[in-house]
Amino acid sequence: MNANGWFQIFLFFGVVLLITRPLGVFLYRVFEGKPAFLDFALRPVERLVYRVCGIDEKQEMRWTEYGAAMLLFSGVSLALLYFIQRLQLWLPWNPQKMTNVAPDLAWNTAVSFTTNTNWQAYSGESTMSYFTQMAGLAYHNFSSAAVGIALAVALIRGVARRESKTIGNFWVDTTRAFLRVLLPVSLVVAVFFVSQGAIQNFRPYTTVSVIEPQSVETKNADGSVKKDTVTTQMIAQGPVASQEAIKMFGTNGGGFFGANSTHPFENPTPLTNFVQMVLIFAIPSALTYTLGRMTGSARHGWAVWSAMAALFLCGVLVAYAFEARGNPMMSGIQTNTSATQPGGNMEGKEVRFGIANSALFTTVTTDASCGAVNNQHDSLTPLAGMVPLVNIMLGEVIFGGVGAGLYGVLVFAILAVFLAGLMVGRTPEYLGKKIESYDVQMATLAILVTSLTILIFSAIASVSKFGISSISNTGPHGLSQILYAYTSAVGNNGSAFGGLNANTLWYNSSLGTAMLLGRFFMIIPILAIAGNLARKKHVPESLGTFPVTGPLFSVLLISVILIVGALTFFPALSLGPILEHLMMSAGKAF
Amino acid sequence: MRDIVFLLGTIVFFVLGLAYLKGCDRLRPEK
Repeated sequence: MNANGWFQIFLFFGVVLLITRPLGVFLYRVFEGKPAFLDFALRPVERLVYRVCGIDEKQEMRWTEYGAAMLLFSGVSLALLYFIQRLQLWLPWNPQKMTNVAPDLAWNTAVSFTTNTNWQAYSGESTMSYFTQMAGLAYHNFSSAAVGIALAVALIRGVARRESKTIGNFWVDTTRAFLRVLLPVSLVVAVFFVSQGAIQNFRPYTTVSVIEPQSVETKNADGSVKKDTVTTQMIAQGPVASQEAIKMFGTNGGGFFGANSTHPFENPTPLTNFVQMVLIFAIPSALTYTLGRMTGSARHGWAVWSAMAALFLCGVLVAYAFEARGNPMMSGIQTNTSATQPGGNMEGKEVRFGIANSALFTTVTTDASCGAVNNQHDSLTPLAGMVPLVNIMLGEVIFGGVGAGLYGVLVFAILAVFLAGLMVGRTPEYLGKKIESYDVQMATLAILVTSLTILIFSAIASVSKFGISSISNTGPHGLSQILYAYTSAVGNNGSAFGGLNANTLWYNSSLGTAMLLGRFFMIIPILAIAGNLARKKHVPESLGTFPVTGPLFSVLLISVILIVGALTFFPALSLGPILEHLMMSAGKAF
Repeated sequence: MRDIVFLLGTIVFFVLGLAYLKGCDRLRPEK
């Protein structure tokens, strides 16, 4: 670790803090229908969308109607993306003549992008046409993020409203998130990325002569060795910058190329790397302020933000410390820092970004449900690799995905005030609403669905031939690969640990199912909480009310998140990364 | 064939989702 690394980490943290309030106010104004930035240009377009789609802007929905509309929208979007992939050979913008995607991979990808996961069991440059990338995948980057924001706003309304049967209108909230928030920022950021060197074109791939021809030896089936000389290289092209902007701002994470944000066309400079990380945290962080503003308790918003920030700093500290220390089994070679030697563990890292920015990116992308990577998580030292795993296991509530982070952390907030209520023997209250058994049941259901799905699927894959045959390392590292895949899928993160061949019928089907359960079976009980809270009366604060506006609440919230996560996943973690760390210290690697 | 299986599976999932939603609503007290 060095001062430069910490400076960049704290600069990032400071920028996120700075944009939280203004963006939070903007979100508040947009979703409350108040005058907001770019009204003059986008409000007429918004009205036109409602007119064309037959949406009554003033019509409100009960939580069941809101949930059913969300399911309908997601189901139709999923089917659309499936068919685009299955038919891409006959659709436009396919200069490389990419064949139609196989059914299991097409389904996995359709589910993945509909659920904001962006798990990719393929490399974009060798599988997807430009049409599929833009009309299929990039469209879902917008729509799944917009749905997430809409759901978070609906839950906030549930907390804020008094004796109301409704929590907003799904179509209006989604349109506003799409049109007023995601689209303008993505447009500006895409142009910025192009200015930095990201590409944006529809050209066929470019074939170039390599500067130094390479000899490659391959073994034939009969054992004979075949020698080839490689003199040319194909460089993939495409509309990258436009997809890159929403990939980060919508916490989607699905790369245009297989290498994701390690690729110089996706992430050309250290500045774009910095901006990409800020974009991931921008909306999730701002939504905490929106929560405070809409519920009339700005201090509560900041208390939630503080809990998230503390957990984020712990994560980045651990990841950076273990990566900077490196692998003790390589103590015989030079690992100290010098002008030509970065020190620590540089395996799987882009030398343009180095250890500090890789550790930071890893922490940020898994705190949020983004899943973009600028380094390979499979190459992290065991305990640094455990950081992204734990971040996702905790429910991605450390800022979290757009919308998903906020509605996830509010589930833990409800559990926190419930526990506080039990401790003092009073009916728990949350921002003037009594928390009753139904709310706690739904909160528990939301947490149990995700935990159970991760552990059951991981267990099946770990003991079955079809699961084990895809891993590339034995021992605890192999278990980590499987555990990470299902954790990433259920948490709708989408980052891959690497090393796992996930493009098989089993993994495409089971990971797809895990993504669906992790997204929708978590959202439904959360919407139920929103609907139930909205209809309740406001209870004035009393001496027995547990305050949710100060450091005590932040500490309790952190404790609940950590205890629930630790109790659920510690046994699995101890057999994976923790065991691998201990064995590495004893001189055995996998 | 696999297309039909995956599409039917998707429809079943979303129908189950609607049933789950209905079930959560039924559990609610004081409806």
